[in-house]
Amino acid sequence: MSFIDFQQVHKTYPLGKTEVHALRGISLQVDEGDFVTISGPSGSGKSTILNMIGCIDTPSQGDVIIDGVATSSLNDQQITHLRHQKLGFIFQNFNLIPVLSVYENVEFPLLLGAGKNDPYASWSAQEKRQWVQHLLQEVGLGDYATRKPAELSGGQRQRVAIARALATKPVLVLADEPTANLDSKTGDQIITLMRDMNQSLGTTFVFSSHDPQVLDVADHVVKIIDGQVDADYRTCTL
Amino acid sequence: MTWLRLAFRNVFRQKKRSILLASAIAFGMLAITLLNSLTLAMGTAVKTNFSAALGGHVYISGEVVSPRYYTSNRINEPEFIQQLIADSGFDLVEVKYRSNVRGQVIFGSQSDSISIQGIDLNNETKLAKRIEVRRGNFSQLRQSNTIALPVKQARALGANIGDTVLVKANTTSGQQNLLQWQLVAIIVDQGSFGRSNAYASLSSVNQLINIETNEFQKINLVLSDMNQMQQVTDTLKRQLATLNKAKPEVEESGLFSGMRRMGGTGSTYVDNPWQGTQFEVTNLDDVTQQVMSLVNTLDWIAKAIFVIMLLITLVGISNSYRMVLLERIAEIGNMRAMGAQANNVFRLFIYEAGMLAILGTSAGLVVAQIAITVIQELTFTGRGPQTMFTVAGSIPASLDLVSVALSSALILIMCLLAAYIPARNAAKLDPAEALRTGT
Repeated sequence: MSFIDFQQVHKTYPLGKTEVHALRGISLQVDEGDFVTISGPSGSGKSTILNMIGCIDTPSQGDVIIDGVATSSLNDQQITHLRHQKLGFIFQNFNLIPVLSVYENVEFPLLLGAGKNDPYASWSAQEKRQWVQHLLQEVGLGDYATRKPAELSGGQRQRVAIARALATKPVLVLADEPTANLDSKTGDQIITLMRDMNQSLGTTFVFSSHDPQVLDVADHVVKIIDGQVDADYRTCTL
Repeated sequence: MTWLRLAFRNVFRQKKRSILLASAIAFGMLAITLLNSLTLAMGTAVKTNFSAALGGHVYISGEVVSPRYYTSNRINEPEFIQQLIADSGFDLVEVKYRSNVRGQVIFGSQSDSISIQGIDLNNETKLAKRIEVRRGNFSQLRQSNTIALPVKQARALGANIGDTVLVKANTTSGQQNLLQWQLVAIIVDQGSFGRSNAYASLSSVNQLINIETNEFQKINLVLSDMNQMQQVTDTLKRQLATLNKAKPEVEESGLFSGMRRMGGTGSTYVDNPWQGTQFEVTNLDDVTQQVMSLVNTLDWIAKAIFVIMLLITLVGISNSYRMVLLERIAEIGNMRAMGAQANNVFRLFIYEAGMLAILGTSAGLVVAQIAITVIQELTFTGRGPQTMFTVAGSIPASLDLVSVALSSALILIMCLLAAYIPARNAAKLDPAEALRTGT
C-alpha cells in the first residue's frame, strides 16, 4: 500500500464571484522513502497538492489517504496531531520564527507536546538538545545556534527550515518550492542536503519545483499542468 | 513555558508599539493610583485634623433644662456617664473631659475673639506633646485662672508670659461673665488645620460658663482602634436609650453640623423639660460626613476618568492585536502546520496581552510610588482651608494596596478582553489560508 494515495482529488477556490479549479481529478501514489518532485508551471496546482498531503488543506472532492488514513475523516485536533507526528514542512519563504534563535527554531516542534507513539516522546531534555545540535551540524549550522534568523543568509535560513522539518523525525517532509528564493548554487546545495537526509534517515521527501534541473535528482517525478497529472514516472538514481 | 517564552519575546518584537501601549496602560495606572492615594490622603488628613481639633473619636455631650425651660450644654451627672463608660469595657487610649466656649480675650486696649478649650491636663497626656510651646510653660494650666494663647492672638494683644488678661464669655444660661486669667504659655497648635484654640484649665472654663467645677460639657473618647468608632457609638447610644437618657435625634445638615452639637453655650427654650442630663453621642464620621462626601465625590470622578482612559487604551490594544494578526498570519499558519493546536495560538495572544498589562501596570506603579514619595516630601505652609487636607504641613499620601490590587486586576482583565477577539480569530485561522495569504 502506498504511503500517500490521491484518489480523483478536485479542489476549487472561490475567487471573488468566480471559482478557480486548482485541481481537476488528481490521482497519484507516493511510496515511503521516495524523493518525489512535483513539477509544473506557476499556478498549475503544485502547492495545492502539497497542502493536501500536509493536511493543511482539504479536497473539494475525492480522497487523500496518508498512511492508510483518509484525511477527511479526521477532526482539526487529530489533523494537527498527525501533522506534528508524521510531517515536516519547508517553505519557499522559510517561515522561521523571527524572535527565536536558530537552535530554538529547530527545537520548537519538539516542544509542542508529544504523543506516546512519537519517537521523541521518551527523550530527556539532554537527548533533545543533542538531537537538535546533531541536526544543526548535519545542515552545516553548528556554529550558528544562537543567531537569529535575520542574521542569516537565505541559504542558511532554508537549512534551518530543513533541520526544523526533521526535528520530530517525521516520516514525510514537504517542501514547497524550497529553492525558489535562492541562487542556483545555494539551491543545488539545499537539494543535495535534502537528498542526503532522504537517504541517511529514510525520510520521504515531496517537494514542488519548476526548476528542470531539480528533476535530475528525484527518483519519482509528477508533472502537473492545469491541475491535472501530465506525467508520473520513476527515474533511475545513483 | 514555550508559549510564555515566545509571548515574552513577541512583546519586545515591535518595541515602539509595545512601549506605546505599555505607556498608555502605565499612564492609566499612574493616574488612578495617584488620584486614589490623594483622595485617601485627603480623607485621612480630614479625619486626623478633625480628630485632633475635636480631641477624640467619639464625643458625648449633654443637655440640661433650667427651671425656666431653657437648655444648656452641660453634663450635670458626671458620675453616671463615667460609670457607664467604665462598665462598657471599650479599648480606650484616653478619656477627655472638656468644656469650651468662644470668648473675648482683652489686654489693655486690645481684644481678640477665640475658642477656649477647658482641659484637664491630668487626663490629657497627648495634647501636651502636640502643642508647640513658644514661650512659658503649658503644664501651668493645671492651676486655676491660667490661659495659654496661640502666638497670633498673643501678638495681636501684645500680651506676654505673666500678664493678666480679661476673658469675657457667655455662660450656659446666656449671661455674660468676665474673669481675670494669667497668661502662662504662648503656643502653636499644629494639629488643628489652622483653627487655633486657646487652652485653659477645665475648672476655669467651667467657672467662666457658670457650671459646677466637677462638671463638664463633653467627653471625648480616644479609641485605640479608630475602626471601632461606629460600634462604640452605637453601643453607647443603645445603653443611653435603654436608660432613658438619650437625647432624641434631630436631622441636621451642613458642612459643620456635627460640630455644632459639640458643646458651646447656645441655649434654646423647650416645651417639654426633662430631669437630669440628656446625652447625645456622635463620632468623627458624623462630623466629617459632609467633607468626606466631597472627598468621595472626587474619588468617584477619578474612577470615572480612569475607566474612560482604560476604555480608550483597550480600543488601542484591540486594534494593535488586529494588526499583529495580519503581520504574523504566515507565522501562525506555519506554527499550525508544524503541529501547534488552535488553543496554543489563542494562548500566545492572550499571554502577550497579559504581559503587556503587567509591564504597563508595573511601570505605572513605580512612577506612582516615586510621585507619592515626592508629594510626601512637599511642605505646605499657610493657614487657609486647604490645611484641612494636610497633616503638619504635609499630604499624608501613601500607596493604597487594596485599590492598587483592584486597579491592577481590572487592567489585566480588560487587556485580556481586548486581546480576546484577535486571539480567537488567530486561533480560528485556516492554516492553508494563512500560508497562502502570508506568502
